[in-house]
Amino acid sequence: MKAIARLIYTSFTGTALLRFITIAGLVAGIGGSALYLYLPPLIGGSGGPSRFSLAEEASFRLLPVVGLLCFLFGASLLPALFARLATSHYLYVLPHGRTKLLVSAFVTVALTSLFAAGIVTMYYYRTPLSLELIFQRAIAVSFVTASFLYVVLWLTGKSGTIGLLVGSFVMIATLVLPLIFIATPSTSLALPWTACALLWSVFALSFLLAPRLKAPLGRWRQTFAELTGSTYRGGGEIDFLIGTARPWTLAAGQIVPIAIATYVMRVAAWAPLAWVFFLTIISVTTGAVASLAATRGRALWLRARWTRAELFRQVENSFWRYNCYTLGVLLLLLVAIGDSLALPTRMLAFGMGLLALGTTLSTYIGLIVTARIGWRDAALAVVVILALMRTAFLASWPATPTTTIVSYELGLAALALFVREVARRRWSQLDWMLCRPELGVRAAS
Amino acid sequence: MTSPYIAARGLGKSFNGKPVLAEVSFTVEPGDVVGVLGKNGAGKTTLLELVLGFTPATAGAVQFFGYDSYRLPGAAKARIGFVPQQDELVNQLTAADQIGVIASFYPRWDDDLVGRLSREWEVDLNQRVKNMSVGQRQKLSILLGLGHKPDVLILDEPVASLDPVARRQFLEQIIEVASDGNRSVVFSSHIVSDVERLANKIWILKDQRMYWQGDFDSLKDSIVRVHARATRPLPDSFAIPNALNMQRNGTTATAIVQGWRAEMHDGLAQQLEAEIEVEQLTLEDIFLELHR
Repeated sequence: MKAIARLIYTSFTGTALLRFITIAGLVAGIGGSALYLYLPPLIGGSGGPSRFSLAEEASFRLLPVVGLLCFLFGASLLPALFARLATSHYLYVLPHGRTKLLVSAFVTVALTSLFAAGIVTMYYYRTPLSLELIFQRAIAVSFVTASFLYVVLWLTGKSGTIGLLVGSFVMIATLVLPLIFIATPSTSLALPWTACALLWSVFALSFLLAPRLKAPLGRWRQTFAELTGSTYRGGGEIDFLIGTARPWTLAAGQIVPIAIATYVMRVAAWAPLAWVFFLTIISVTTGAVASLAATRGRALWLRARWTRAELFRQVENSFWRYNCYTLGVLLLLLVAIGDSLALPTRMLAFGMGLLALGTTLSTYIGLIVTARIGWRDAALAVVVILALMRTAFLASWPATPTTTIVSYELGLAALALFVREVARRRWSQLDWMLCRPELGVRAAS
Repeated sequence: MTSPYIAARGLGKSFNGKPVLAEVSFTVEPGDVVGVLGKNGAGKTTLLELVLGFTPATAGAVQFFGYDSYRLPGAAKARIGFVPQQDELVNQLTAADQIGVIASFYPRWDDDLVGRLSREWEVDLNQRVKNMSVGQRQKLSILLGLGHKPDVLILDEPVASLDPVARRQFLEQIIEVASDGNRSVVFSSHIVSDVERLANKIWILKDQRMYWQGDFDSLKDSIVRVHARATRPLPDSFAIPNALNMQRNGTTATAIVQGWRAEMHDGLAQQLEAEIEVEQLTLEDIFLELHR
């Protein structure tokens, strides 16, 4: 019990920042809920008399949600802690290490889900709906979502294409599943609970049996690497060293999760609007590979006669060859989905531009990672993602004026040129001492 | 008579059909301090991983505290300490938190010991692991292996990244652990002088096999350098039995002899009509001669 409790505590409070976020989340979540419950009913601009201004009411409403998000991300050390211990030799020698680590992960996810379900239920306190039913629905959805969220956090932090691929699969599930159950209240809870049970059973079994699965998995990976050309065969040295040698894996792999998501979402009325948004988010996965380029480029620079500036051009070319495959498949998928769902031509046209912009921006944002990630880089990445999401939302909405979408896309294109220039300058002054392997992996996540 | 902590019989391991260890048998008794020597790729890490049950053996078996090492129960694991070759710490945590996480798995954890050692070894417990130097991280790894006062401590090249002062402090600590009499240490190292200073048993791995195992004095007595000085030129047929290698120069010859016994001295002197001088070798010399 002590070890499980310690692991859970560490997941929430492992660093000073996480401690702050977790405590802030608890205070905002619980305090905000108390305010929401014990203040006079908030009327939210309905025209009736209120003791509070609209801004105050909005703050009271939002405070528990902010608390929930903080609490959820407060445990973001969970994937890193879990992955580090799970892949270390300690797990073999710590008493009951494997079981305790697994239980701690489960309980951490359960705690975040309980917190989320509690806050969701609290919002329905003054409605005639059954709080028990609301809580059941909320806990089921939040447990699945939280499980997926932490898996995404872990997988996108991995450097391999397979990690990215599975990460994008899980990301789609994380985005799709809650929407289904939020937007379609009459939907049965059997699916999220089954998904949850399946996810955790498969995960727990593979984790507990990992020592026995290690050898066959190693053989399978070797065969897979030979089949997909990730083992060196001469020629294409740049792609091999930079990590862009097998573009087909990610490109073709995108088809399966997107096809599944299309099937799952076929009943939802909002599905046509969501696709451009989802595909735009998926288009940025290339950036995770690009963020490792500087670290991997050192080996190339040491062996080739190129200057740093020439190396950047070579790496850039390599990434565009890689992007052609992934972007090509995404564009084809968008057209296929557009055809089957009869999406408006305008939406498709802007969507295609957005996918190209998403890939371009994420590639160059990845390429600017040539040293420790500063707050400016982090802020830039967040701004770019938010801008892409905003543009995707506008492009999907039929009422948005065309000029607005064009302005947004032109703005994003200008931003891409700016980020490329930053990347080019940084590569021309690349300090390999500051470019260490763990940096790339952190940047990818 | 106490039963051995570790007993292996006919141990073997292959990767993709390629053998990396074959026919290895040994025991580790309470109080043993075993130094494992071998060239790169000799199988030292594989041997330690088999002992700890990280990987199943392809032949033979290891009994650890009487259990199959591949299926060690939690209670047995609580009596084992392990320091890996490369540290496996969580970068995001402080040293204190890292210790806290590992300590929570053990029913008995000696905070005083860890506190004392961290002060002596100058490990800043408030520092984030990712900001620590390689040596500091290794010291922290060793603390994690020692904190629960294990009955058997297994270390895979623990001092590779330590400076001489830290190495000496580490060796003193291992001596303290071993002086208990009921605890054992098994460690691999390329620093032969450390093994010589610390170990009372030596395992030498060569060509995927246990080439030598026994106490250090027996090893020193068994492999010696023999100088022969004859009164007339040595004949072409001159040979010293069990010589690993020999250099001749007119009336003198020098050979490294394995399996030397004191009674061989007089017989050889008489046979060659030569003056025989036997010189004991350091462990480093023995290791080098065995791999020449």
